[in-house]
Amino acid sequence: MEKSGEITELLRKGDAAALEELMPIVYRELHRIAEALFRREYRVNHTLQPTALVNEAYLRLVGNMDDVSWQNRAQFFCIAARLMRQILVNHAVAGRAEKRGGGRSFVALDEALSFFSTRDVEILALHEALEALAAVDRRQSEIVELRFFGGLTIDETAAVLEVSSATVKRDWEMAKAWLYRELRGDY
Amino acid sequence: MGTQNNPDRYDKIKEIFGVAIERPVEEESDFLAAACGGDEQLRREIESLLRAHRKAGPFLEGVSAAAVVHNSLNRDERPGGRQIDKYRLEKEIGRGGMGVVYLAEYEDFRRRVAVKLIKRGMDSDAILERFNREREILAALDHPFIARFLDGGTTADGVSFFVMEYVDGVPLDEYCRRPDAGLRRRLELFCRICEAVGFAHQKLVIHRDLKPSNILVTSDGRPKLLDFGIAKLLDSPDARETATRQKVLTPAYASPEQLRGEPVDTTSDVYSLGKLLGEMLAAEGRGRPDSDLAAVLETSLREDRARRYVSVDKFADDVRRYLDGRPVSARRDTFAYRAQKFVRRNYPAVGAATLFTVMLLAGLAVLIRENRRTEREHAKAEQRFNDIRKLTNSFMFEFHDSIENLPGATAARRLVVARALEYLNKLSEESGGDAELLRELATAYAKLGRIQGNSYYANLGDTDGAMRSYQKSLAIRQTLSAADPESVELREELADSFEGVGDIYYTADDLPNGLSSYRSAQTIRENLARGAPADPSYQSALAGLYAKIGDISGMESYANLGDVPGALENYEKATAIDEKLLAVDPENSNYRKNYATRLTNLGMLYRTVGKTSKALEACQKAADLFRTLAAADPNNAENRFHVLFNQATLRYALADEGRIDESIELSRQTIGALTAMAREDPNDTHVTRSLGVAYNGLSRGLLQKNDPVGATQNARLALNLVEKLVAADAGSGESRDDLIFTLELLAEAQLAGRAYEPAAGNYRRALELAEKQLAAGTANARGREYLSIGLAGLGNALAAEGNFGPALDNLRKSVSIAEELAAGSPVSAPLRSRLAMRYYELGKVCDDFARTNIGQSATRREEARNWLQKSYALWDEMRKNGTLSKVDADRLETVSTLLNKVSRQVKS
Repeated sequence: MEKSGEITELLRKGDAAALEELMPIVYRELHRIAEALFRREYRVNHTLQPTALVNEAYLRLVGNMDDVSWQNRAQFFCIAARLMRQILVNHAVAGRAEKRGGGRSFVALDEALSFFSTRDVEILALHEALEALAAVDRRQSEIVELRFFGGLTIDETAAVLEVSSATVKRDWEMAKAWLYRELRGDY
Repeated sequence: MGTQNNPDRYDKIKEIFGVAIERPVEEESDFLAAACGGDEQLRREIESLLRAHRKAGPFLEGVSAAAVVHNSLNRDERPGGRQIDKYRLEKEIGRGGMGVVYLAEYEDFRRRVAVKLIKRGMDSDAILERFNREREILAALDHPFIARFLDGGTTADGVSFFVMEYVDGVPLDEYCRRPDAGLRRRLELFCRICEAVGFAHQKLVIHRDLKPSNILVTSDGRPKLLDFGIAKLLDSPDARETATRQKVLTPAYASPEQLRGEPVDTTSDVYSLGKLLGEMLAAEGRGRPDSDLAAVLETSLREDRARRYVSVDKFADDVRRYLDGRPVSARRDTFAYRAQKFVRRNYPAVGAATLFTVMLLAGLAVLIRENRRTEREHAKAEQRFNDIRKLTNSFMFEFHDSIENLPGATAARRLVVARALEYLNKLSEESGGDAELLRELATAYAKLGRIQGNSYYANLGDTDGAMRSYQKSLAIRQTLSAADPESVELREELADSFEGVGDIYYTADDLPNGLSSYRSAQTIRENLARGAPADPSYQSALAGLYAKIGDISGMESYANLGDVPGALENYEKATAIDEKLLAVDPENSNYRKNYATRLTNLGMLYRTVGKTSKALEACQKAADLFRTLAAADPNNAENRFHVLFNQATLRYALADEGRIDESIELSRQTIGALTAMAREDPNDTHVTRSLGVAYNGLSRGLLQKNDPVGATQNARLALNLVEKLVAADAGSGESRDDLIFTLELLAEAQLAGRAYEPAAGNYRRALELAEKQLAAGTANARGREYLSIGLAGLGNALAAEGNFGPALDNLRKSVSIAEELAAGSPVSAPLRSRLAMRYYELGKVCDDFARTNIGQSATRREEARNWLQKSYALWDEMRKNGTLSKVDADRLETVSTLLNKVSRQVKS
């Protein structure tokens, strides 16, 4: 990956300006991976496990993690998870606009992700519910973002947020219940 | 329900919930009673969450967004490998260059279909992309002789496939070898094949790979064409060149242009059908075709596609003629054939014009030579000189004028006038400055200029040549009028020339010079009209000029100086004169035509100032007038143009009022009519341009109906036409404007269709052109508008890629241009609406940025709110003063929703 040096450098700096520069690169990479998946560039027996896109992106972009401080690495995962969420939400917003015959979509969307629209989780509803959740408990919404959109495990999430795994686990269960109720009606 | 929005209370809930889920269910009730200590609301809330928790089960669990992607990967793969998407393959039924065909069953309906698997190695990404683009077109090929196209896609391991109606039949070549397939039967079958191909051509689909194995014959003798449009999917001219790319064609049936890798058109299918017919006739032991059939074959197989049958229908016609024992057209002599190529045979007058020109040429050459001979013959020579002059003039005026309004006559008219001019020039040299002759010469130049490139009339699109001709006529007339200032005729002719020069400046997008030429003409015409108030011809000419000044000042559909009040004022003057003229002479069709035309434009201007319902009313009134005019004189080309223009304006007016379906229907009608006109006279750039405009209109309508695929297709069709116009006439600023506009529309459609990379590419191309115009100083308000639109579009495309920094730069630039434009033309509702749109887009992208940016999201969100407020305020103000179109009213609602959300977030 020709960019990896540059990105490692940006991550090492870890300041706001560096993160801003990083964002489009990460965003594009996420797009690229998602598209590649959709186009079935990966064979069925390819080694790709249900690993997070984000991890995949990280490996492609950064490669060796040793150079980067844990804190900055965590920032990378936060950014990536948030961008992933953005990609899916943009897509869903436009999809909904189309269905309702609403105004034209102003965001360019990723065809590669069109199969999300009919999947188990209605991304847009989840996104809105997450925003509501963030208003009452920011950390819970971050946990969901990292886990669902970023694909991180409980332990990884705990490390990123610098809290204990038990806390993440408890928050995760609660957030799940809260979101489920929000999305599926009263219980 | 009780969503708890209080963070403190939420902490309490969290604490109790966290403990409760660790305990056995049966203890839950007691635990909650103790933990909540009588707070019933708290208890109900936690119980509700616990119920949700039990129900939630695997919700969000073990499934990340990434896993969803991955799972969809595995979904199509079934054990055994004989399942392709929703289709279960049963047995192989064919095999060809492109791949293998299987009989298959559709899993849900047990319906039999044919599935064609495309060979690996063909560029599956490109195929899929093209497939998505062509899907609707292929689905529209519903014809009894064409195998229905049902589905297509790409499987998990990169195999592209197409699904077609399963046809139980034998291949064409096998059928032709049967003893019962006699000559007549085979020819009738061939005509049916042509019918199917012709039908597809009408739907703008070219087969490209017609051959016996692609045509099956069913047991009742009907042909079924397979693979329609597939070849294009597999071998599109815009396909990315890759090393592994394979040409999809069968050399034995491919046309010469296909073999050379040139673009194909319907005549390429004519060639392949010719090959096919040859094969059908030669089927084992049948002997050679007789001379008539041989001529038919020869015509279809010509190397030069322009000399083949112009369409599949014409080809089939000749085969039918042969079957009926009538002479075939292919046997007509070549002179007639060539003459027909030049002038369509429906208009014998034009053919005669050509002949006449040739005769005149020969005669004049002799006369002029004789004229130089000797002094002794001087008197005789002078007589002849006058004869030539008379002949030339009658030819130029009477004859030219009589064919002027015939469709298809443009090229012939240029020939007529250019030849006449040649002789007048020669005569003028001979005569040494005879004033009358000079006057005739000036008239000839003016006529030539008009045919060469005056876009107010049917013309040949040669702007530079037209400018030279008009300038010559102006120079001559200025001299003549200065020598005889009292002559009303000379003054009127001088005004004509000024106006003509103005027209060409206008076409070349030099608006200030255009306006100043028009002003020169205006002074003369106003004087003439004042001098003879009862003479309707001066009044009528003045009304026409006012309308042109209105156009150049601020008519939105053309390049203009952005002076809408000026435009309105001039159009009001023009229509006032029209009404007076009609009051005196109500049946005069010319006056009616002019009035209808200007009403249309007035409607356009009403639209500009936001009076959308008045605009629609004016356009509909004009449309009624045009209908009666067209019914009275159906062959009048100019009337037909005005009708088309009226339809274009009506389309806008309907769209503003939210009547999109009617607008789309109208676009389709216009395209149909224009396509027929373009066939009659392919040299007429006015038709080509109008067709481009109509495709754009259709594209815009489809975009509003959220059909980005259709919108992209039609914008692409428009782009092809516009690029042709630009290539043919690089001097026309109008064509360059069209090009920029069309590129931006295409990009917008692509953006809506999520193809943001091509969209960004087209926006960049448009911006480059727009900036070039600005740098060259030829840009006007319209050019800057394109710049603003392009910058905004590029910004949106970049934002969609996550490239927020540059996206915001572009959007901010776009906004500042849009602000200048709106400030420069405060009455323009569309400009204000566009500015509001730009604010909205900028606000939207700021908000998107805020969501992804950890460090500065608060700042970004505030900026988003700021822009959204501006957008809201602007549209809201338009709503209050009654200039908000229905479409914008919907947008206002969208802005309002987003603004509320962002404002809430800013506060929290």
